Amino acid sequence: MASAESQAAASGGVASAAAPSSLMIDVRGLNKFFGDRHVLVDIDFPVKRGECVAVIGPSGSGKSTLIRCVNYLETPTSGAITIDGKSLHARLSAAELSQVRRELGMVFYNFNLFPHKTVLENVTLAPIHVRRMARTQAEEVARSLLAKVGLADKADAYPSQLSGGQKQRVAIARALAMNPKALLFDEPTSALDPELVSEVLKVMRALAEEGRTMVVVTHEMGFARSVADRVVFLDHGRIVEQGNPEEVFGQPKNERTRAFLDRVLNPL
Amino acid sequence: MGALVNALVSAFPALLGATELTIACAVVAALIALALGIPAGFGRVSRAPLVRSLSTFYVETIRGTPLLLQLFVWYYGVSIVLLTLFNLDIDTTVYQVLTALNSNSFFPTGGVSSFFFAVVGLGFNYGAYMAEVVRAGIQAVDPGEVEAAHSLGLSQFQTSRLVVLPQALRLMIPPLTNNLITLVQDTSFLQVLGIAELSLVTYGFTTAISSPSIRWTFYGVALLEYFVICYALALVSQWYERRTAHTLAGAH
Repeated sequence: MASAESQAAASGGVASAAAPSSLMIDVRGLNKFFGDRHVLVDIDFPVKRGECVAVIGPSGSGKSTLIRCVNYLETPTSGAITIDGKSLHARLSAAELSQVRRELGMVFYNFNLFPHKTVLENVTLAPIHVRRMARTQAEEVARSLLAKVGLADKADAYPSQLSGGQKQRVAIARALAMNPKALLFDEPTSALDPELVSEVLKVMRALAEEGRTMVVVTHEMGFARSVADRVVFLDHGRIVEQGNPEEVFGQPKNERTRAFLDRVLNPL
Repeated sequence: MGALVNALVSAFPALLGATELTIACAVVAALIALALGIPAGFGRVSRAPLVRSLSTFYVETIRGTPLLLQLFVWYYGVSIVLLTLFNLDIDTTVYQVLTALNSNSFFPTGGVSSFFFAVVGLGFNYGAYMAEVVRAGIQAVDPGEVEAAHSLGLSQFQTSRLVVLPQALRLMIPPLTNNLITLVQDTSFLQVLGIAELSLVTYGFTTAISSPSIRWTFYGVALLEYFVICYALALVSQWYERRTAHTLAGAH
């Protein structure tokens, strides 16, 4: 059922582009096992160019595993993953995998900045060493991205001198510096103090409004509701329900979606 | 007082030579230890089973046996094996190499093989301990940072060179300093192979001195020398740690 729905969503894509190229990310029949645990079950997950998809669901539902399979930080047990027409599989050489990964910016829940490098060096590292960009040019790009996330004055600071919200904005700038075709956010605000969440969400909203392709695994229902083009609800490794935010939040069809949203939106 | 000054002045050239030899042994052994320890440390976390078992074998056999006996094995065992199997006489070979390099000033003629095996034995021994320091340093770097590097498209090698190693090295400094300090002191074991290092030479003087106060002064001088060398190492390490403290993940 999930499969039929997502295919419908895919075929109703941007009219100007041909069918295959309207998809930036295409996940078909994805299964993932950790030992005996079947954490992702027959997932079809196509993402159109310029689409912002929020993936929600209870802890342990497989949201993070799904997003980590998209850039092969986790190797799928079975299924097909295609990024902008290039298919990912376990037989890819390290160099081929790197070719695809550099087109996907990833933002982690715990930032994963490089603590021994300054903010500017964190942002320029991959453009210099992966894209072979000249240092001066990479620094110019990095400074404009840091200005964009509101951290122009922190270029020479070390990550340990930043707050959580600032670290995450640096991590976003670092991902953007590679000029990726899509951005993957793995619970980007879940490790932040509540008062720091909004500075990160605002940056993410601005990116979505620019028309960037984004997949956001999140517990921030406000963000999913107001920013995402599509909300995907995952439970026990299956896509249980998906659609535009008004549908999913307004009239959830599935009982489990309803129960989850009720718990999250009315915790007391 | 006059007798003490006379004794120290007449012993000074010999003590200075012994100190130089002690430092030379420590430096060469430390270089051998690092040359073995760094690859062995990486080998311990390698994904290749053969590399992993070889590294583990090296670390565990060396750590599991006493340095003193290892020195005897090198000097009496390995030298004979090399001579009988490969017709390789370390004495002549090393002497020729050092003469060619114009750097044989430290060694008594003909006694090169004892120095060679002493330093190699000490270096092999400390390499095993350093391998564990290196392994711990590598494993202490957050695997999330490795994932971040991979997600940016950095290769395995670039990730090691740009992300893991610089941080691992920083984390290794305190335990590595610890190892280097004990290595300096363990050069005193090399006397069992007849190396005229500081402890042996000091002991030699004291056996010929009847005055207890002069004898104890000689021991005091030797102890002070070891202390100065080791404390200098500690200070360099502290300075480096302070200078790089801001680069640690948990620093504030």
